[in-house]
Amino acid sequence: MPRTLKIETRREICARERAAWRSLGCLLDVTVRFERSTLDGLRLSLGTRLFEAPRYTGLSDVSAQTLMTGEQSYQALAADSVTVTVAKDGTHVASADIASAAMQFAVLFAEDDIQERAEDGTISAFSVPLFRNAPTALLNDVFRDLARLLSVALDCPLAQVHPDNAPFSVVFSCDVDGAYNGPEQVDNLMSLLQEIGAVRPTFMIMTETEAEKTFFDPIYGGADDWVQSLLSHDVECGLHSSFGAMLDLEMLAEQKQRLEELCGYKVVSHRAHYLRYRHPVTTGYLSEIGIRYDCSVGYYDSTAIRNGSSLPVCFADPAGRNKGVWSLPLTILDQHLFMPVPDGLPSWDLPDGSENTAGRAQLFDLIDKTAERGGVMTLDWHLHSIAHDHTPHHRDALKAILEYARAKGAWIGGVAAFHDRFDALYATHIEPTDTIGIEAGHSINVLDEEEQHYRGKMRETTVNVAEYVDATAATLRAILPKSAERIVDIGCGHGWISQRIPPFHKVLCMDLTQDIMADVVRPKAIGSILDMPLNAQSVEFAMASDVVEHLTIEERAQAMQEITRVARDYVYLQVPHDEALPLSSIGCPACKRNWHVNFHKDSFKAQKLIDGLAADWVPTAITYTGNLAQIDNTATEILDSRARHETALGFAGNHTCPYCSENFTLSHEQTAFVDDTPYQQDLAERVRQPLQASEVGVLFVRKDAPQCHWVEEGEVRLIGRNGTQRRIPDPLYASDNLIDFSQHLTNNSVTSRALFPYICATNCVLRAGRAGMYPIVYDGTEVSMLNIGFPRPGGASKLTIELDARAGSFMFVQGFTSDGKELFSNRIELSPGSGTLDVDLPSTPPAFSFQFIITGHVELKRAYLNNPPRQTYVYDVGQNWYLGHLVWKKDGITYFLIVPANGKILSPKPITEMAADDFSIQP
Amino acid sequence: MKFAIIGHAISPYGAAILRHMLEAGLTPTACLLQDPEPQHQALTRAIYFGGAQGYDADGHTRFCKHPENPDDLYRLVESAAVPCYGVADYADPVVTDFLARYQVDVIVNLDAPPLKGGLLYHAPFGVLSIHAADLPHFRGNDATVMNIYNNTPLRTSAFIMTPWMDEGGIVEQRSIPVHEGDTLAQINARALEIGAALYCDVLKALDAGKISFKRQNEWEGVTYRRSGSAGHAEHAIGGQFVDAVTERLKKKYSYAYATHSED
Repeated sequence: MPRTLKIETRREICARERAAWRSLGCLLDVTVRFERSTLDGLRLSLGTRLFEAPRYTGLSDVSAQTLMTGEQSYQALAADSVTVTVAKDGTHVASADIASAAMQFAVLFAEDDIQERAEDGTISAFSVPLFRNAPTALLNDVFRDLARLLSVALDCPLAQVHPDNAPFSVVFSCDVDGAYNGPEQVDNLMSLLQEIGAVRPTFMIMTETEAEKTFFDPIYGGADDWVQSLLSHDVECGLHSSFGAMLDLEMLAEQKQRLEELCGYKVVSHRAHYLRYRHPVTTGYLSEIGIRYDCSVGYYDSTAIRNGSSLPVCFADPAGRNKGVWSLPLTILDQHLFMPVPDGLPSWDLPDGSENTAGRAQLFDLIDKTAERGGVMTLDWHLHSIAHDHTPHHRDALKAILEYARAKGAWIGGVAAFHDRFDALYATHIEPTDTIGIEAGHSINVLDEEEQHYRGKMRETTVNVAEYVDATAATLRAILPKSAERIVDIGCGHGWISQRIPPFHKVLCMDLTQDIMADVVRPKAIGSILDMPLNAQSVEFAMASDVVEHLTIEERAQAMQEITRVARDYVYLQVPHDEALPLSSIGCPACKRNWHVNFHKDSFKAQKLIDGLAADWVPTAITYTGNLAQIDNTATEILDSRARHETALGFAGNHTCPYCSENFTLSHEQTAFVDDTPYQQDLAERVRQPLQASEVGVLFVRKDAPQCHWVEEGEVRLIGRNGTQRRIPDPLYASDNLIDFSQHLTNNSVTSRALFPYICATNCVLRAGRAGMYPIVYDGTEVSMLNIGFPRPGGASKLTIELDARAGSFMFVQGFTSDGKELFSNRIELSPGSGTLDVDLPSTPPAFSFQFIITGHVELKRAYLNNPPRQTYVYDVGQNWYLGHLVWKKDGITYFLIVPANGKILSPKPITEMAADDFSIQP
Repeated sequence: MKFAIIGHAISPYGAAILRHMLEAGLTPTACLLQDPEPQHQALTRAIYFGGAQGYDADGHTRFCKHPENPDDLYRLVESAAVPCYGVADYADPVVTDFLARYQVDVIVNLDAPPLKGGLLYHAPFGVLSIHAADLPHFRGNDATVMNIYNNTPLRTSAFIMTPWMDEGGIVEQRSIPVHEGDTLAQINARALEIGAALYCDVLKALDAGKISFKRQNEWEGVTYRRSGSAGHAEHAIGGQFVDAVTERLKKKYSYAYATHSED
């Protein structure tokens, strides 16, 4: 029975870090389990033994240090001045956070920010500050060191990870990417490897075609005599992907396929030509094509990377396909030993060909350290450098290394052969939480017309052009907890949303039939929210977007039971917001029965969703997303939740009555808005209420699960698509019946006319004057034309204009209805100096907009109607934050409001004062 | 296939693509012209005040006319009798109001900036755009330079726009040949020529229903962005990259995908 190492911390442990902990678990022969606690730091427990380290504070102070544990000392990567003490109860306590710093380092060193990877995908040792500052740090295996430290602290013997119970391993791999003399080179190398007893050494072979070839790629055929000679030996063929394949999934897949045709078995190992690699893209691609071991991470200009005696780390599932990739870093490339390197680094010859005595001593010292630490040394030699006039000593260096290592007891062999033991350990210790188990042979009954409807939708929208999909995907990413490693997307449809869930999450897409999911690229299964082929608590995060509204009340109760059965920690439900169902219904001309155009059976506000789940599920976030009621749009194009089916995807088109099977067609004209209907009036009122979102979602957390945290109570932040944050600007406070020319006028533009008064200067520009603004014409005419309009002119009987005119000035004031009909036109002589101008307005129809035609010099101060004003708060965050979120927390619930295209969020009161259902239309 | 085009009114780049389309027998149904002059933008906005329906479809396009530039997109559109509209603000609903009259299947973005909001979702096939670099890996401004700098094959990519820069579904990609000794200007000109042909072929393929889409993942690429935050336009990449690429193109066997003359 494997023992379980429990890792507790307050912060979320991300998926990549979990992968590293699990790889560490292999070294300790334990299963790793993660738990959230209130501990401000890291606590590791195994049985009765505890190890505690304080809170992680970043990598800035990380360097090589000696760790003292009382009996033993370790040279390890750790924070400054760290000591490990043993408390009375036996708990080992570190004075600084060793564990997570080392873990971060182990995971990220080669693959992310710490490493300065060049634009072409390679890494130079001499560009890495850590290398320059402390070369010896690179010769430590932080991973192994941590395992050894924990082994003492937790009283847990280290696992035997090397084949044949060897103390350490030398993995031999050989790149086949040069010009060859002939089969004699193969024979020469193989005789050396056989003599040394290397087990199935790995040869990384290139298989690019003429079209894929670059100047940096050699090309050869499978029929070449030396290739045939190589294949006749007991070797492992790995893929040496070509120079251009680093960023090309298809090229990688094709090259692998060609190699498999050549060697006749599945290829599982890989190294990129020129070590060109970009994490996580290349890692994801390798995972997708079925590569299990990658050896590309390495310096081209010096020995060692990540650490000198590095053990592999498994990147679990970078592409979300339940396939992991072990990363085995490169220790020595043959060319390293023949390049000019600084003193203190391993070398074989000096550039002039003379022997480098000190460098050779360093080389053997590196092997000694690897042996002492139980590490792995990965060699990368080149077949064309064996027994070649240009590289006379490459074979000698290899022979010396292998013989020295053999004398120290090393296991020597190829990449796949080495990983056998790791694979077995990983398989033993993998938690059931690492995969999503699906019951086989699951089937469900689907109503024909609904299935047809969903399938039809897929076809109509082959190209995904739907704003609410972009918006809801952005919102899902904003709320998705890092610890939600396994996700089920119930009712995934086209995979619109789940395809945008970032790498390192395992996503299972689920829908009623295979046909509906034809375009889904992630793992998928047939199932419905009422009946899922999943075990209890088999995912951390279960989501149903635009599903619940399709259920009857009885079905909904069953669905909530089912979704809370399969979800371990989180449930996210998202539905159309506050939909007026009768307004989106279609009537059959034959049988006169009605149904909802999208088969929706219920309408929701946030509170109704919250009430649907049992009390042990706590609502933690409410999202308002989809199409924001676009006050920017003209009345006929408003896409709020009631009207959103008034498009080509909704009413208009062919229909089959689900009751009597009558086929009929509705044209755009038949489904167009008709003025003065209650619907239109309702819509008009709705438009004037800001913050109308077409979708509402609620994220629930199980009471005992890791709680989510985005912002502090009462705090408001703007969170961008990639997690960038900033404070939101103070809201502008605007009135809808007043234009103040002395104020900043940006927000009074035509694009906000449904809420704000607008100003348009037709043939003039407005310049700031002493107390207001005055127009200057630019088109050579003598009069300037200025248009202003008010969104809610009803009830006003007077327009007042405060101005300051020079002698001889006069203006025309014309009034128009909302559809452009002229109501009146008055010519007004202006007396010099400051004054007030009153224009009487007709009561019906109200004047929506006015045109001022001004001659002379007139400075405008204010213009306003005499009806009661309505005030609005405007948060103008800018268009660059489109589909980011305004996030705030109130009464323990975090609200996410999507930012619309114009970057303006309008609210009837300060945003933090809004309660959940304030966003719905008020009766 | 009814399509609308979007481009800068005085852009020779947009004009070159449109000329190619017209020669291939593809005439746009409507055109949105982005007018760089602020006073014209003000006019466009002003027209809306009484509702766009009160105005002739192309009654105000005279403001987009730039007689000093014979290669401008506007002139070509005018000579092809394509109804057009001068746009100041793509978020202005009058833009989609205008397009709604023509019921287009796809909008073709010749050289307009990244779009956000309603316009992206207006046509059933969305907004088609072409990016002169290999997607998904090199997005944004100056991506052609970075494509070469990274020593990866230079391709031009047709894609359906999303609100995020160059991240939409890829429709088709084509190689841009690079020859030894080319200058960046020559490569850009070739990219334009190939891009224009690609626009035509994609439109025809869309019409024939013979098109497939390859999704991009956000994490698959790097986006190079220009910035105006410092008060002046900042290039998306440093000058050293342009210099390095310029030098590299001069050298033999330096860019791995350049073709070389025989020695």
